[in-house]
Amino acid sequence: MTGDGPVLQNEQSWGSRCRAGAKVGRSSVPVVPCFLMAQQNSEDARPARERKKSEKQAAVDALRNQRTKKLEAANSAVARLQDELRAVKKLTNRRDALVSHLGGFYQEIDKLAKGKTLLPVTPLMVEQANDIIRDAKEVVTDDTYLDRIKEFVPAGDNPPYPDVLVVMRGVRDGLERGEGQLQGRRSHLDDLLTEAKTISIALRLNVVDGEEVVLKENVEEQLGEEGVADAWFPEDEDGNESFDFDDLDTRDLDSYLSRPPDDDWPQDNDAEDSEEGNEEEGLEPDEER
Amino acid sequence: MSSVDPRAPLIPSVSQYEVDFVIPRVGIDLPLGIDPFLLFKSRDAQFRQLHLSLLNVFNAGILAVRHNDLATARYLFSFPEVSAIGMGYTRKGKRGSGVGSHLTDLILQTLTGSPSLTERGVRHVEEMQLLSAGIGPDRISDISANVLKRFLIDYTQRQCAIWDIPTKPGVPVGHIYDESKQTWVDSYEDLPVSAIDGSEILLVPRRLVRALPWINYDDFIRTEFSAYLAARRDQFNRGGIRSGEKEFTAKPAVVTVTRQDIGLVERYVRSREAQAADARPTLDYIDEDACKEAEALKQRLSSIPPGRESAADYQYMILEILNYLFNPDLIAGEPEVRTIDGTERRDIIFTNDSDESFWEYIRTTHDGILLMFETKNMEALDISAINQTATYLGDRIGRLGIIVTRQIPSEAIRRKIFSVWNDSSPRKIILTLCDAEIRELLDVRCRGGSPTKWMQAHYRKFRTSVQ
Repeated sequence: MTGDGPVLQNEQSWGSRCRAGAKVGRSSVPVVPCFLMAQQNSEDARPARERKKSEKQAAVDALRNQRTKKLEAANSAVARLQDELRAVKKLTNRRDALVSHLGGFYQEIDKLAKGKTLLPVTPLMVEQANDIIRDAKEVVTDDTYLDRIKEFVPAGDNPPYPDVLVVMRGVRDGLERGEGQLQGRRSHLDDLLTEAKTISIALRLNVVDGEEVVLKENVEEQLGEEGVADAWFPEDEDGNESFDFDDLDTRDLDSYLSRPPDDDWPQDNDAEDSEEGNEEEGLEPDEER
Repeated sequence: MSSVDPRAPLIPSVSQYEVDFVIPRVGIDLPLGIDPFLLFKSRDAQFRQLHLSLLNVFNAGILAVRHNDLATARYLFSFPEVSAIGMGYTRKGKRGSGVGSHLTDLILQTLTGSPSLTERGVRHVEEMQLLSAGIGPDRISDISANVLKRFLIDYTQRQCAIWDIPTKPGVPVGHIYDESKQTWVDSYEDLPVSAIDGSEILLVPRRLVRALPWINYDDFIRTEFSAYLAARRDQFNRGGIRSGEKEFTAKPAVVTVTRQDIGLVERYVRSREAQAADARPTLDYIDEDACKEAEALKQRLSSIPPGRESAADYQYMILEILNYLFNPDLIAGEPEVRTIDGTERRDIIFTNDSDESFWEYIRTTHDGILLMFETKNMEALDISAINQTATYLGDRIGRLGIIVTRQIPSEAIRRKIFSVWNDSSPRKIILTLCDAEIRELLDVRCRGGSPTKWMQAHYRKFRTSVQ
């Protein structure tokens, strides 16, 4: 570092010796004319500016790449969520049909069971009861009480009427609970799909069409009646609602658009706080989780 | 001789509960007989073939009668009493009335006196009880024992090998039917002999014996013949004629009717065939204390230490226990059964010839008349034991196997067994029985409960867990 000293002194002396209209070579101490000095300074700053410019351009390119990837992620999430939503709609229809079928079956067994407490049901009834149990378990998942109900295993002796009746009642109750579960799943998937579509259009306008600021009305125009996810358009001081790219840039879109229904999705600040906290305690973020 | 209890078993080294055969008594015949209907209704191809042999002898004799070849008929219908099986209805001793030639005469008289029977042939040899005044259940057993003698000799030799019962080489055995040549032959065989009089002993599977044949005269009178009499009574009443009903209840009068109207016999036999599921072997002759037996088995089981050294003892112990628990539903239990090519060896194989709903379900659902038990005398069952058992299961042996072991299998083993079920198509199922469960089963049997029902619940538990 000591080698830098004289150069710096020399530069300083050059600056202090700049005189307007000074004649070169007439003084024992060389005096640099100011126009030459300005020219010299300008030549020195150019690489720095260019570096800065290229750094800025690199950052812009990186952001563009990142958003392009997010656009792809949002598009594939839209396709996936549409498939999932279709599947849930199918399950809902299946549940409705099963409830209707079970209602009839239950009524008949109930009638036949009167005075037949010890008599076994017929093989056809066992088969139908097992079909109903199997279908119900496919339609309604994560229901503790329905999970506990198992298909009948006749093993040579069919179950008696009361047993079938009690089990069918349990299945019926499970299907009733399943209605709310399916509605919840459907509504959650609807919300996710709206968000995914909103994000996808906002990103397209930004990345493809080059709009720096994406206004809510522009996205609404593209989505039509489907509606946009309002949460992505915070209002600024002037009352304009533009897409929150700052928020988007910090999110892992795949995880965000796959989050489970009851998940308390952490806010960015919370997440950062949490990570900072971990670092303070010398923990990796994943270690605490 | 006088100090010997005539009811004592002739083979004292084994318990009646624990073996597949009827143990003859020292001084008396057991009031039982071989019931050919149990061969007829069996799912075991060998048993059904034996029933066919029985009919073939009879129908060959009937053909000879039809051709007026009475000498051949007399030769074929030669059925001396087979005292070696130790069964009969003689109250006083081991030897019956010794009326082989008398039986021949009775059969010939019946056939010559009933052209319709000669024309029709027989579906069951038991029909002869309904057509001849002198032929009763004991004669049916005699006829069967004579024709089945080759099978009985082979069976006896197999059982002696399993249970280590001493045999005497070169025991003369007369009157063995050779079906291929349609002749009666004599032979020398290695057989167990009575310690009392040195006579040969032939063992009969428990599965084949009944106190009365399923098709029998008394039942015929109660059912088909009563209906016939009722119809006749109506006929007489309508015609204003009074019948002497008593004259029809005596057997000679009844057989006169049946010989003339073979349709009566035909209808009765068909109805008995339709009720075949209810035709079960008799067990009343087993007079040992079931609970004492269960306790003894429990103690003996506890005394066998886990480990390779005691594996053979454990295997035979389990065979005895399974016989105690499931015979006559599971029959002909044999240890160390090798495959035809000799590459694989199964610890214990039973024939599932049961009429119980559960065993019937197992037979049909898991594709097999055979049921395999693998005995693993180890503290903790390992994965290789499961893999080995799963490999054995298939078309030849059926798809249900039971591993009998000392301790309840670990969770990992349970999951492995589940995966065998889930990954196989058609499904293979492996159940396990540990010491504690075996004790529970013995207690069930002692209390007069049904070990089969216990197994049914055990099976259901597995099937519902694996869902």
